[in-house]
Amino acid sequence: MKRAGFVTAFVLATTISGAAFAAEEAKNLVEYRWSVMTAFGGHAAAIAKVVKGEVPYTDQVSGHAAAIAITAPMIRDIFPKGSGPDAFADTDALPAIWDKPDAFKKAQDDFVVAADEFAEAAKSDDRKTVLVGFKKLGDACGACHQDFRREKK
Amino acid sequence: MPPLLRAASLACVIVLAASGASAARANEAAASAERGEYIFHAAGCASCHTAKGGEPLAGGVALDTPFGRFYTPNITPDPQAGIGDWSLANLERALWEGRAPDGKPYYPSFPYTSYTGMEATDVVDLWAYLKTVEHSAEPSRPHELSFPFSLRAGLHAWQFLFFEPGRFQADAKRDETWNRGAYLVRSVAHCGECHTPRNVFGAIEHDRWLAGNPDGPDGKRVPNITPDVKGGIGTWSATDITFYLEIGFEPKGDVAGGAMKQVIDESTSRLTPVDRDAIAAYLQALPPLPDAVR
Repeated sequence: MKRAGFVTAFVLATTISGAAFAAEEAKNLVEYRWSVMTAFGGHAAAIAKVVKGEVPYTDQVSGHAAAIAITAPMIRDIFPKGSGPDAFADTDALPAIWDKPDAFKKAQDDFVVAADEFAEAAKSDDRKTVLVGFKKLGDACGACHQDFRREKK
Repeated sequence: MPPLLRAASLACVIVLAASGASAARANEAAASAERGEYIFHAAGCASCHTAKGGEPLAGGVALDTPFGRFYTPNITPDPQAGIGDWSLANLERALWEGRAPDGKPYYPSFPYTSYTGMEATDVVDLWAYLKTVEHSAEPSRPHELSFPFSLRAGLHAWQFLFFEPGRFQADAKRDETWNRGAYLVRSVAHCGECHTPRNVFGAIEHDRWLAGNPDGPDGKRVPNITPDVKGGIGTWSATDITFYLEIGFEPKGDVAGGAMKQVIDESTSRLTPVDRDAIAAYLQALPPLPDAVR
């Protein structure tokens, strides 16, 4: 009887701590994802500042573009199962990411391609070329946000 | 007044009166489909009249509102399914008075409350362009509205209460840029239709103009675009606004999805830089309003 009580307590304790561990893991995954997305946004904001002519660092655009291109493929890894809103409510990632894996994969691939193409375009001295590539990159960001990110509150 | 001067001023009055009369309707023969295409994009027609994956301008886009689901109609020149049997006067009546060719009032999901301000020359050019687009035989779908909104008769009362027809009136106290921006934002691009909250009758609350809409199309929140620092875009420079309208990046580097992405693609990215500057000048001169909270 006593032993049964111990077993029950043990099972309960491991289940609860297991759930707590899963929640903590989801939070960490989402926070990491936020950091990667914030990095993309940071580089994009810096590029925007230059191409608007508000700062003189035109020779730094290609560096930012290269940083985006080299980190872009990371998005293929940072949406594992168990990192959605059911695991961590604060995430803006929509369940469609896991419900429509083919469409999500296409959106990811489009972003990676746009990032690579922009890294090339950003080496150009022609402002128009840079802007066209930047717009295409933004389109890829927006297309994915359109279908797979919760509308901002 | 010396006679010569009097004669001259009388001539001025006659010329003004004559131009006033002709301004009511533009000359169809002088219309330009090319200018019309520009107006077509500025007015964002395709955003609502072309469904995702559907034939261009064949309609069928579902607009979910508190009153039910609206389906946008086919506006291609197909005489059966579209508006091929319309005249210029029919289009003017639709845009300026919110009425179908048979006189029946339209639901304000069609933004004629904004389009009523469109200048006659723009409407005639738009008409010239609409006649050139590809036909589609796709029939328009009927709206799915809840009672009593399904009764079109109620729209007569609605229009009487909430709709003031009339062309855009320039403000002589403001410069040309502001007036162009006001015309684009209010009448053509109809920004206020989504960015302004609506009352329980679905009419725009003009004292909260562009202060955001907690219950926008598809039940989504639409942001405040007045220059309020906290609730609106008061921290955005004029360049931030024009750059966003052209490329789609917000100053902090984010790219929004949703309806605005489509507006940028279909409409604002296709405007001239001068027109984007005018929109920014108008938005920055608005009274800053706190976020519209229900």
